[in-house]
Amino acid sequence: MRKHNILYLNSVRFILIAVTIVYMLPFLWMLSTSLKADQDLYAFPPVLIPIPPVFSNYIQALNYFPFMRYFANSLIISVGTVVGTLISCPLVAYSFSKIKWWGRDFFFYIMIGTIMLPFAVTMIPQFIIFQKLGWLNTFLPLIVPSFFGMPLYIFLIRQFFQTIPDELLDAARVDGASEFKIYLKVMLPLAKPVLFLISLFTFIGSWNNYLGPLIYLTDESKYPLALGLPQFLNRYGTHWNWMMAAATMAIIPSIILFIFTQKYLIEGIKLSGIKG
Amino acid sequence: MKKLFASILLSALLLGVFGIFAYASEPVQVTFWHCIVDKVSKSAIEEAVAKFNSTHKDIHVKVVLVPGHETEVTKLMTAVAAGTGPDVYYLDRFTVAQRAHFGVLEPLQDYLEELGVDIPALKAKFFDFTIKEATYKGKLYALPWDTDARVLYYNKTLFKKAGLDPNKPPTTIKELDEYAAKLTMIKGNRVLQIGFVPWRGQGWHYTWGWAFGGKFYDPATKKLVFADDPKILAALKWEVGYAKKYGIKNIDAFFSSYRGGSVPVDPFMISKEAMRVDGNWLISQLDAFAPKGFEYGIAPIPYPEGGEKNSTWAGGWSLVIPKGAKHPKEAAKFLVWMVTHGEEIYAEKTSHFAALKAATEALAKKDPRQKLFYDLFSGPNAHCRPVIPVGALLWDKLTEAWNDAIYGKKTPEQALRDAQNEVQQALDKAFKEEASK
Amino acid sequence: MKRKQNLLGLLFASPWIIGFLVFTLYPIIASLFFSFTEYHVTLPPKWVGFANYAKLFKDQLFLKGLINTAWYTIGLVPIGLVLAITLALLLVQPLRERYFYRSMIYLPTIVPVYAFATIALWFFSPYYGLVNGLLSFLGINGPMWLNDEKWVKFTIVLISQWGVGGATLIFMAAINDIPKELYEAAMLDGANKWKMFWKITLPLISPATLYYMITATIGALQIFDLPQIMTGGGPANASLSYVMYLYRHAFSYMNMGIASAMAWILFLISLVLVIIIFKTSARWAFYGTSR
Repeated sequence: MRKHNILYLNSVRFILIAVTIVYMLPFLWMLSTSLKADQDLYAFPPVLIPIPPVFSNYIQALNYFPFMRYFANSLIISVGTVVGTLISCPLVAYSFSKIKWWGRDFFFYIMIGTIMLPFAVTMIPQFIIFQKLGWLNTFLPLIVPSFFGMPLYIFLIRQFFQTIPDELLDAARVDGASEFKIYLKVMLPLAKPVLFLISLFTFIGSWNNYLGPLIYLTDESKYPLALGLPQFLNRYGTHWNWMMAAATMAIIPSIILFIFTQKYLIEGIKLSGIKG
Repeated sequence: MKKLFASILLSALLLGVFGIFAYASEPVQVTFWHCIVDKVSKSAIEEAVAKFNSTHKDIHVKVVLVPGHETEVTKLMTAVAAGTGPDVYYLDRFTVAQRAHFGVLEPLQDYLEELGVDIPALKAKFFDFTIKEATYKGKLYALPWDTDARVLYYNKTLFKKAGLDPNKPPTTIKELDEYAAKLTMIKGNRVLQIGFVPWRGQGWHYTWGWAFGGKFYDPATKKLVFADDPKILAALKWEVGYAKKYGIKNIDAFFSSYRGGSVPVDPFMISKEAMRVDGNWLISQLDAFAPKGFEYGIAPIPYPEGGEKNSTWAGGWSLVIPKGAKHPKEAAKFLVWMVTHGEEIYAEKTSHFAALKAATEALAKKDPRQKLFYDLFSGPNAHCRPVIPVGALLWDKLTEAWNDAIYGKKTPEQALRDAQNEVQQALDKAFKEEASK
Repeated sequence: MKRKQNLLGLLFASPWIIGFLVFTLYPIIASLFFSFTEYHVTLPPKWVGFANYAKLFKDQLFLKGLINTAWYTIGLVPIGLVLAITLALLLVQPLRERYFYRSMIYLPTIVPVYAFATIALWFFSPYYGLVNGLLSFLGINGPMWLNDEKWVKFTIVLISQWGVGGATLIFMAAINDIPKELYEAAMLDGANKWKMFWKITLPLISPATLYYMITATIGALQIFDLPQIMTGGGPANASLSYVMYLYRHAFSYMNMGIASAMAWILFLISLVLVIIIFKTSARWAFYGTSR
């Protein structure tokens, strides 16, 4: 039995190593380009491992545009969005999965409907709303909507909430707990993995959002990194090495968040004890 | 604590008092959006604007970089729709007619007249075709900023290897075809080195259509004429000949090999493509990234018998005032200063061709490589794209027609006919609307 | 009691309902209205009835984009599903270094799309590319991938699989939610791994599967970035996606009316597909004891 297990695990390992190599390539390529000297950049066949690595590309990238300023802006926008999403989405998802009320399915399907229209055609009317609110050239149009829930994530949380047995909530209801307390004390702790998951998705989505900041911000000092990277794309010869150095630094927060998150992801919702 | 409060109150009061004074002499704020990302050009723009600000106490120009694709107008369109657009915008000049037609731009000429600018004298300072592109329905809607040109680039080293004289680039289509054959190396189906492919780089429909002596649009009758022009058809058929000779898939496979890898590599730069029509901006790219010892030459675009000598066409950018600008008059003042005095600073710092004749002339004197371009601009065969309200559509449909023919989806005749019919329909509609306004 | 439930439900859902009314409803209605007008954004819209729709159905590129997008969807959704579930199953196995694999498989989704597209181009480059290099090592003459009209869509579908990390995480989370006792009980009954997958794992992750099916379908119908960057729609429009063509109308030709009509046609197609998925899901989606 045990011998079989080792063989089994090793074959899993073998497949995963092969897959991982393929999946690492885009990142490795980015890293290698970020360390190349100008003259190696356009060499053919390509130089795969730059020797010696040119670390000064990172300095160039930091000075090409106000990197730290943009970085801070990105951080404010993304963290704000994550906070908003975490406050609103599980709440709405709870309503759409665990409370039985007349408009539940109606509103739920409308919500799914809203993600079916391409942004290109709703962009201008939406811009006008934010203009009427006086929010142009602030972070508000980028952050505030998340406090009102994001359909994709509400839907995802709903799917996970639905797998949690109702008996669990009913028990608390019988004990006389208020619905909000049940949500806060019973539901949220059980849903930790999916909450981390949407934090990760929201953060990365907001971090890479290009179109939103492009149309709403009109002060370079308010730009996020997503508006910095395109500044390297130059018709008169792009310094890909600087761009990739900037991109490599730009993804660090997402990587840190991922490493932090995945520890919680696999804990799973520990239902075993309760379910019996 | 009390102290702190008092000092805050005091400074607030002071600020208020100064605020009133400041308000009295506050300059008019003009916002200027542009998309120039490369560092040298960007700082040249900022330098010019700073100079304007220091010499014009009544106007303060604020520059905002709008990054993104060159022809990205998403931000402009959204902002103009909401009435929050900038006062000055940096716009691809060939779209001026289209934007003016759809009401995106303020009629600059009206403000210039109001300011008392000598308009004919101003116009005379720029290359003719740039003014043509900036004019819609007889009115100036833009002032031209810079310009560019297309020429034939060739690799001198490869010429030598193939036994050709590196100082004698091809001048006719016949020579070009011969040289191309000599410079191409094919093993089986696989292209190892390519001599020349017409549609590479800046070898667009317009490039060859004009070089063959063809006409695309007749402003007198307001009709597109390319499908009826045997010269345009000849140009397209000649290009299709290349696709058939080497096999379009083999050509594509060859070039796509250089698109990935470390970064997209230019086959011309690594001596795998011997000749190509490209823009003047390729020079600075070659200066920066070409391998050591890379030898190249530039020459006018070759032409067939009955074609056009020294044919080229130019694009470039312009400055405009978008609709709903808060301070159009001040913007117009800044604009006039910018395309003349500002452009002088810009052209000198960046070695770009200015639409301003004097600036480009100075550049051609300084750098002999640029002289060819100056001669081309000043020559009779420097074209600009047709000035019509559906310019972008025409561009896309011509590109599609060329692709359809090159990929063998349609006969050249049919492809041209279809494109002409479709764009003419849109054009007629636009003119009808214009007449009814 | 019922009234209280209704009130509670509404209260909990209110953030989204308010947000919908304030931020989303007007733009949606506006775009529907624009689809019946000739609208160039800076000039007032002009009512034209169904003219935009009628015009589109005679437009070759519209039909081409529609058909291409159908192929993208048919390719992207099922391949992504199988790959994401497979990877998720592998990544929850008790390997000591599984954290490393997980991070690496998720990594491409945070790499900027430009970097990502360029390496993909190199991978599938016909002569010097890694894929054809490996194939020729095996004695196979690889296709031209992105340069072949017949292969280009499939190649883009393949390249998109680098982005499967997000869906994989969702399935991992779903698999980890399955009570271990169920497997132990099944093991005692002598079930093999294959049988346990079909009888336990798959049914119990079905809520996540439903989520994937809906969002992946909607996403695939709106595919834009990769074909735009890698092929620009070529060769010969073989990779032109529906939304790419929509963007051209909206911001290149300034025909927001046509763009809106295109958006609403896409909306109807999405709606039909989503309804089909929801309706059939009653047969395969399993929510335990939830009501």
